[in-house]
Amino acid sequence: MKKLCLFLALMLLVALPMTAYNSEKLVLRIGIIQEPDTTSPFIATLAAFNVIDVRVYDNLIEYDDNLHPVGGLAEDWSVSEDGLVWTFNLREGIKWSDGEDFNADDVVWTYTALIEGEYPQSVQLTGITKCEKVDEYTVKLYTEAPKADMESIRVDIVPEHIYSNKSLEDLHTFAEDSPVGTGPFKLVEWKQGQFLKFEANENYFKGAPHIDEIVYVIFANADTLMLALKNGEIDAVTSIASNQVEMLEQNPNIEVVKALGRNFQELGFNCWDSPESKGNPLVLDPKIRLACDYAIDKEQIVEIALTGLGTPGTSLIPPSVGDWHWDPSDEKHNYDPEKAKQILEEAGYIDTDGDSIREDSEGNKLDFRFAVISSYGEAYVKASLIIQKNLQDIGINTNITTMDGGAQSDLIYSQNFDTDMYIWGWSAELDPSLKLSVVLTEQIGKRSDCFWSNEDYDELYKIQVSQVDREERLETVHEMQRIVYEEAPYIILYYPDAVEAYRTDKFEGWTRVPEGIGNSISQVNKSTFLSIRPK
Amino acid sequence: MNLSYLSKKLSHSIITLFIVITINFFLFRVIPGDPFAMIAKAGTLSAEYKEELSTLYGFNGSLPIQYVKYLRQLFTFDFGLSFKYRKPVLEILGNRLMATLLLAFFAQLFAIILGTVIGTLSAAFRGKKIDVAALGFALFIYAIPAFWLGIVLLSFFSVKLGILPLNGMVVAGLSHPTTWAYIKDVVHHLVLPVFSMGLAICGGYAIIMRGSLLDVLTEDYITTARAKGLKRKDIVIKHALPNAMLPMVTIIAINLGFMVSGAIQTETVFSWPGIGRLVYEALMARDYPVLQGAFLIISLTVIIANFIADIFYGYLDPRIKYE
Amino acid sequence: MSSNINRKKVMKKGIIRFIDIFKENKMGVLGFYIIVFFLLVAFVGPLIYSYNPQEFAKGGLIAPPTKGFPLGTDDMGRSILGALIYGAKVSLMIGIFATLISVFIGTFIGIVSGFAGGKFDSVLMRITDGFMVLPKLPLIMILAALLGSSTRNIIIVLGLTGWTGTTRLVRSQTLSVKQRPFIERAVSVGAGKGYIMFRHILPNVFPLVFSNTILVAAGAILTETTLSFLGLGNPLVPSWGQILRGAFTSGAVSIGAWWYFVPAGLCVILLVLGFTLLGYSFDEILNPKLRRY
Repeated sequence: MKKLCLFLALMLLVALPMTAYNSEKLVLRIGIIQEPDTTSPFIATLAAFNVIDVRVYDNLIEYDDNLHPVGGLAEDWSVSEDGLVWTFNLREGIKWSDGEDFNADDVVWTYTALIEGEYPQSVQLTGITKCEKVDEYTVKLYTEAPKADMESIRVDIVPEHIYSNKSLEDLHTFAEDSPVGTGPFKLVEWKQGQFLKFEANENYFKGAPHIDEIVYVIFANADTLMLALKNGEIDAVTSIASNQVEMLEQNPNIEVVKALGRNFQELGFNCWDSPESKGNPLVLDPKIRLACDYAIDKEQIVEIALTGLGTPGTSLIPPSVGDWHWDPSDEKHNYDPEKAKQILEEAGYIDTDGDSIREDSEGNKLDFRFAVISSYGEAYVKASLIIQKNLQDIGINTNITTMDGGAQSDLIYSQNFDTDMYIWGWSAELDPSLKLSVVLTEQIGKRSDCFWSNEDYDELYKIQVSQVDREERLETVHEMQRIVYEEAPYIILYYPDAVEAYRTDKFEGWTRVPEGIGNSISQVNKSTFLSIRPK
Repeated sequence: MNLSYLSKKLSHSIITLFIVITINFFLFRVIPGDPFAMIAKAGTLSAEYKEELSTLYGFNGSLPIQYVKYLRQLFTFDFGLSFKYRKPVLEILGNRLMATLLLAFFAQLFAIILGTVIGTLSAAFRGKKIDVAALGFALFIYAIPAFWLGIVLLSFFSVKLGILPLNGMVVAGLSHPTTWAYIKDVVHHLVLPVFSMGLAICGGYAIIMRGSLLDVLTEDYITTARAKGLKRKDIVIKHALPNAMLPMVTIIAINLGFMVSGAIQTETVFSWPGIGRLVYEALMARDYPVLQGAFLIISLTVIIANFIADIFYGYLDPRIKYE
Repeated sequence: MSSNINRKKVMKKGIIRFIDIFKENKMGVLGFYIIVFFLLVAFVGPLIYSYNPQEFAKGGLIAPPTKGFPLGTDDMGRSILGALIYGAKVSLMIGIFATLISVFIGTFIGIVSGFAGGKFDSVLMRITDGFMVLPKLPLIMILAALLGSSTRNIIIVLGLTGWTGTTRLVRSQTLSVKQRPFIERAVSVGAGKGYIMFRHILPNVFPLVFSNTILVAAGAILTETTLSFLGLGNPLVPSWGQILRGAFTSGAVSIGAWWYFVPAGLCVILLVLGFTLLGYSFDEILNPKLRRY
């Protein structure tokens, strides 16, 4: 008994609060749940990698706060008459974090490795055939055809003096513990599952940051993440659970930032027109898919699955990306179950046996299998339940099976697409090319997860990839989205908002990119991190 | 100490280890699905790259060949590369294992002490109010899911009272000036998770202790002691308890498996950077090498703990000692 | 055969006597009533209180208890009381069926192994050890994630991983029963192995199996709840574990939505407590050393 009391007393003694912070340094603490997978741009596949690469590396061309291209490591650039040769003039006097000079060798090495090998960032370089050094601070990039998105790609430039002795195979596993970069911060410590610590780079070529350190604190769940922000243990969070927004907004020291997200989530269909497909052939009828688009109450999905933090979806390119987004306006498929039923009736799908499920003329029922990923958070499952009900109301029956992302990937890519419908999502880049490519015929089995094929669409894609005239390209890109909207291999359900929050009592200088409407923390450039300073 | 007993237990442990290794190997080869499906979604995988990955992770060749290769790798402590982090699995496991062992050790200690006390009180005063209260408490605690208990404690101590930290093993990113400061920080963060996990486990121990002690208390030599006029307290503590502790030792060892489950829950609620949470994350990311490695390490720990318990038992139980 | 009639009479007498003793055991009676209560909730509840998991946002999201929603709403605006009532059946069913599978496997292997003895027994026991040593929750998690999280799969997974405890118990009991004279007699008369195991050993092992079953059920219900909480259960079916998962992922703790995570937790605790009380009371009655008589 005595021993027990002693033990308890000891524990209580130890529970006394500690002075938590080293008060001399200016440390910005950001809470995250998803941590990066690696430090190497040649290996990283997780979106969370931007925690590292935006801090540590730079690109040739960057975005300003209005998403216009400005010089990064390149001071300026120009393209030849025929559009096939790009010349970049690099900035002089930039140093790597280990003291070495930055020059053309680094750019040439990075681009060449990405072109010759197959790495996550390589896909942005399609069309580029060669990178050549002209002199210490000039490089040339050669392309097969005019490359419309050349100014939008983001390639992290790595130091040639560290990477030069690595073979292409080595790059699949080589990762520095503390990567050498040109960026405003250096990664000095990464305790997996706990935190990542960055120190400011005093010699950053665009000016030293006004803080000393950034610590990304890793939390295992949304609850503790939120609580830590509330009690000031951390200064900002990159995402919050939607129903915590209200509570946070009421706190005078916390600012909640709702930005248009650059993601979308879609209801995808098995559009694989092939004898190998294990999908239900009825799903190949675009009329059925179109009817679904009218039948689904996207407003309600946003209300419930996203607690209102999002916009109902329409076209493939999200509105946050700018004017590339096509607004269907008067061609919009509003929530109209009656119209949906009408479309099905006219197409010959009628419920003949009174079981509330429609059949075609041969008696095949509109009874589809619906794969739903349950491991990406709750929104997918909630959306699927609402969709199930909506479709039930117009006479289509769905059978939901939940699984994790890997299992669904498997189902589609390794098991001959053994399902009829699924929900998935993409995050969109600022240039529409990559997203437009996911429904190309040539991407079937690769980037395409719906296996849809449309010749007109493929043609238009080839055209827009080289259309350097922006007006012309806009027209083409809009037309492509229109085709997708009408044929509905994807029904875009919603564009989730990106919701962040930060405390206003310790630091100021939080910017938004794009100005006024965008993110404050997970930005496409280093804006906030270069302007943030203590209050 | 009895040598034949020792060697028998040792050979048992080794055989069990071998079986575990085999089950572990087949578990991850037999499950449905393409192991690289996760990586595939993120980019496009050409056939050559897949080939490369297969070789890198030991997935090519027929099953028996893979098995032999796997065994050989284990002998050199090569647990392979993590799919997600592309770092050696052993390295990733190592850091997290320490954190869990820390948590689990103290939680077990707390649970054993608390469980023994409650169980003893209950058995010694059987039928009286103390028994009902203690037993009731033990059964109640036993029925609580570890994660739920964690959430409730977290919301009370960390949220409402604000006296204990919310997450992690140390204050994130803090450079501790001295080792003592580091230790203090860790202990400060350990309190709530240990309390939570310890409480969750102690119920079972209390019940077993009670049963075991009751068992012993009905023995003849106890009745004799009573007839001799010894005080109840002396009887229980000096005569009955040492014998009653024996079954506890075996139970504690067996319970180590449950401890992992408790750890997973506790670590998720308190963001403790342990192996339990790693298993969960690796599962979500389909990081098979890490899962396989974690499995093996955890099983190995349990086998070793069991073996140590067997040695203890052999030492404590006079029936075996003097065979 | 007269021995059959005698046998039935003896069994009946034994059962009546058992029930008499049981009635005196307060712990057991309490457990019994708790279980009956939840059985009623599970099977009669839906007839009284109607709940449609497809009726979304009827009462606001994660709203506190109000007139129409006595226990508030969940993150899709559905009544939590409704989910609790309908979830009772799910939690019970999964728990019970998984247990039946575990106990069946465990008893079978335990009896066969104990009775056969020798090398066969050794091998089986080493394999059992191997399974016992595997970290149970991670194993269940992996199987559930990879085989898919339908209710049926969860039952199978729980069943296939919960038999080791029963096996050990049954085996040691079999070993002691094996020594008894009537077994020797049966063997010498030429009775077949299967006959002996089924007709003689099983009935003697059964009481122990019974109390063990109830405790295994308690564990199965706890495990299912934990699985669902970790996100590996079936999110399409309302179980108590799913309710707790919803509470956790929607950050209910930090916004103080006690109605979301407290009632479901209490239900789990209560039901598991019921099974545990019942199981331990059986243990007390059947284990002669624990009895006071």
